[in-house]
This record gives sequence, structure tokens and C-alpha cells, in this order.
Amino acid sequence: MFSFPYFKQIAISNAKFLIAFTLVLCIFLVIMTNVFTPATVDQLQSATEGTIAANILTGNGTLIGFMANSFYALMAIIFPMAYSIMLGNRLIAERVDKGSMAGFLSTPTTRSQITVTSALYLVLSLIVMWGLATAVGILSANHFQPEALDINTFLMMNLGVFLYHWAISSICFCSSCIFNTSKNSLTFGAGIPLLFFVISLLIKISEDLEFLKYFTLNTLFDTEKILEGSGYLQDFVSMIIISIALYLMGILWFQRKDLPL
Amino acid sequence: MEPSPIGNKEGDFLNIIEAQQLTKDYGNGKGIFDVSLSIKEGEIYGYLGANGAGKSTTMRLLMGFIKAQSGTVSIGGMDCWHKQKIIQRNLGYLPGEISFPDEMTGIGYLKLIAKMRNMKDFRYTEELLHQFHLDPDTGIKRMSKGMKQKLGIVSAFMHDPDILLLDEPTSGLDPLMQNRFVELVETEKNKGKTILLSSHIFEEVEKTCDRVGMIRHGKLLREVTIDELRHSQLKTYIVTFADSSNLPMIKKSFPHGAFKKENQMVISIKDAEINHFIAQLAKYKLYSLKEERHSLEEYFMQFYGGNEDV
Repeated sequence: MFSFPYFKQIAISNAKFLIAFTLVLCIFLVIMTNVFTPATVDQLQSATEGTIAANILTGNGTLIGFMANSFYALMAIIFPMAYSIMLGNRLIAERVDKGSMAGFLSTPTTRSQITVTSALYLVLSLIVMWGLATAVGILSANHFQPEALDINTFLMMNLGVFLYHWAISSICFCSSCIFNTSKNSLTFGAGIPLLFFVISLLIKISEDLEFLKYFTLNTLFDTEKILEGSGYLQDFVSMIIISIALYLMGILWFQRKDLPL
Repeated sequence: MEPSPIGNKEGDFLNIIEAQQLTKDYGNGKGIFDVSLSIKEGEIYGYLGANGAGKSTTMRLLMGFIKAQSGTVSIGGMDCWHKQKIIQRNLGYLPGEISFPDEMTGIGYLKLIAKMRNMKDFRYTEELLHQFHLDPDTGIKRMSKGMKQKLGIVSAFMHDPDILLLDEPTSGLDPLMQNRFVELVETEKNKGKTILLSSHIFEEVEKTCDRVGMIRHGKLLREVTIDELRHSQLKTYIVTFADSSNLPMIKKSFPHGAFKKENQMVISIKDAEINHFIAQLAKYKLYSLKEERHSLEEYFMQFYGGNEDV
């Protein structure tokens, strides 16, 4: 079910993306823990009072509260999403589209070995990305504002955002397995995650659009619930189920479909 | 024990590659329709057809990349879809549109493919690299089309498989390397390999193959041995006469000749008539004599008497 030489090849050929995205995430977390001192939090709260931005930027005044409504509402969502969209497409559909998959599949290595190995790489790379980001966040918070960060909540927040990205990557991966061209793979692999993001923004802007929460995955990564410390378990479980289901669907689909190689 | 891709040896007429009434319809007349092929062990089979005639579709069916809508296709008695991975242990494939991961070097790619095949011995690979003058340390991104083609050839042959499926193998190769390739096919033939070689160039097939199948619009028109093909075919010559004064007499000597210009004759003759033709020509002063190359369609026409709807 797994091909080690193939894993090594995709790990090396995609390492630069993993390093770049992880680095940027870490830098952001360092800046967050550095900038959001109690003084700036007060400032920001009074500056945005009564505006839409206040709706978006409300927090409970703690460091993790502020990160939840800034970093985890925007940067931590959209930026790693770009990673999953790109990697999802590169791992399968791009190789089929360009034709290099023919060389790999003309060996005794099976289609499912290729897809399972690729899926495993994508998930592991997200684990590495968020594992490192979490470690850097904790270390840098300890350095700049000792005792200010609620570690348990921070860990749950990162677990949640990892599960969210695992689910996003499952959409990208599944789409990549289904379609034979990068163009079609990206239409769904990038389109659906971006649509989810736009819907989640619309919900924040107007309360009338509250019903839209059933149409976006972002609802399942609810920073409010994580801050409160309860009620997020079923969301997490749902994201795990969606991820596994979509990865499996992609792997099974790829095994049966016609390949233009 | 797993079944051997060679199957059981019963006499000399064992068909290694067998397709029965194979159909894969992509719509718009694309695909292949009712194609039946049988290729014997040790045979070099040329699959001749224009671009889009269905050559690659047949290759994909043989590789188990696509499923047939009807009909059966097998290699060594094993179904090409269900048993593709057993078949591919002993098979080399050169795709028609070749592509490699850009970020690798040639040698990195070959080593990866070798590992994915559980192949240990790299000596034959090195020999092939040497034969084709390929510097394997070059990054694939910087390789020319010809270099990539050579890399594809090496990766198809390097594990010394008994069956080879080669889709337009010489595209992008310079004439010297095309000859190298012809030599390689001959060596492999002497080793007893079974090779299916597709091409849209008549000469390429003529140089290498024992038997030729002609495919057009997804249908297998006819199968002929290479000798039949060589001898039955008409060759066209363009003769320019130096002196146009005795033209009436020339026209009498060559009743089948067509005169486009004043003193230029286009004539198609069979190889069997060549001596008579030369003897006739010797009577006149010539300005030039050259053979005109036929297009693939023209070759097909000769077999089908110009019937477009075959």
C-alpha cells in the first residue's frame, strides 16, 4: 500500500513548498505573540468600536483570544489553504496531465500505492507544518510574554486548525484524483475551499446570512467554542470523518478510472 | 507461484499479445473500434497509422491505463486491466507523449524507476546510456526533447523486459540516434523479445518490423508482412528529360507516366518492373531522376485503391 522510493521522491520534490509555508506561518506566530500585548489589545478594541471590524476582531482580551480572532480567522485559514490546493494538484492531477505518471505506473508499483503514498505525504506535511508552528508559537510566547499564553487552549486551537486543513486538503486531493487535467482539478480543488472561505466571511458581515453556516466547512473550526473550552469535539470528529472519507474516495476513484497516459 | 508473463510454451505460434474485437469509443470518431491483434512471441510488430488514428489508445489498453468498452485484451494470457501489475514486471513502456518530473536529474529518475521495479542490476542501464550518448546527470528541466526521448527509451529497456510497447519511439531523435534505436530493436529481437512499435512514419516501421498492422480512424485496415509491404508497394519516380523534342516517343515508351510539366514525368511502378523501367530510360537523355516519398495516406491508398470510407 506504500512505496518508500516514491515517497522519498515526492518529499524531496515538494520540500521547498513545505519549508516556505511553514516558515511564513512561524514568522506570523512570532509576530502575533510579540505584538499583541495587553496595551495594543486595548487600543485596537477602542479603535474599532462600533464598526464591522469590531464584529470580526472581538476577543476576550487575552493573547489567545486575540489570535483566535485575527490570526486563526484569516491568515491561518487562507495561507495554508493555498498550500493544500497547490500540493493536492501537484501530487496527482498535474502528473497525469503532464504525463510523468506514465513512467511510475508502468512499473509494478500500483495505482493505489501511488495515491496512498501521496495522501500520506500530504497529511504528514500538514502535521509537520502545524507541529512546528505550534512549537514555535509556544516558545516565542514564553520568550516575549511569559505566562500570557493559555497553552491548553493554544494547543486545541492548533489541533482544530490542523484538522480544518486536513479536511481542506482532502477536498483538493480527491479532486486531483478524480480529474485528469490540472485545470479541472483546480476548478474544484481550489474553488470549493475558496468558496467556503468567502461564505464564512459573509456570515461574519451580516447576521441575516447566518443560515449559510451549513454551507461552509469553516463552521466546523469554531474559534469561539475552542476559546470557551467546550462544544467543539463533535466538530473535530466531523472534520476527521470528512477527511478520511474524501481521501478514500479519491484513492478508490483513481484506481478505477481511465488514465490518458 | 505467480503466473509467468510469458505463459506456457506450446509450440512456436504462441500469441503473447492478443486483442479480440477491442473497442474504446471516445466519441467524435476517436478511439478504436473492433480491433483484433495477435502478436507472436519474438515478433516485432509495427503499428502504423496517422496521428489520432488510435495507436496510443491501443497502447493504453495494453498497459491497463484504460478499460475497454467491449472485447478482450491480454498479454501472456493475462487480462491487461486486472493483471496489469503482474504483466508490467516483465514489460517496458515508452509513452507517446513523454514527460518526467522536472526537478529530477536523469540518473535520479532512472534510479527511482529501478527501485520501483525492485531492480538491482544497473549494468544494462549504463550500457544503454552509453549507447545513446546520454549524460544522465543533467537536470530533466534542461533536457532537450531528444534527450528526454532517449531517457524514455533507456527507462523502457533498462530492466531487460521480454515485452516492449513503444509508442512513436524515434520522435525527437536525430538521424544518428534513430539508427542507434533501430540497432537496439534488432539486438532485442535477437534476444527473442516481443515488441509492439507504433509509428506514423513508414520508413521507421519498414526498417525494424516483421509484420505491420495499418490503423486508420480507429480501425485496423489490414495486416501484412514486411516483405509483402515492400514488394507490393508502388514507388513513384520523377523523371526530367533533357531533350523535349522526342517527347511523343517518350510518351509511347511510358504509357503510365503522367506529364505535369513539358519534359517532366511522374511515374509509379512496382519494384518487379524496375529493370524494364531503367532499360527504357536508358534510351533517352535525362536531366534528373528522383524517387518521391509517399505520405502514409498514399501508402494506405495503394492498399485500398483510394476508397476513403474504409
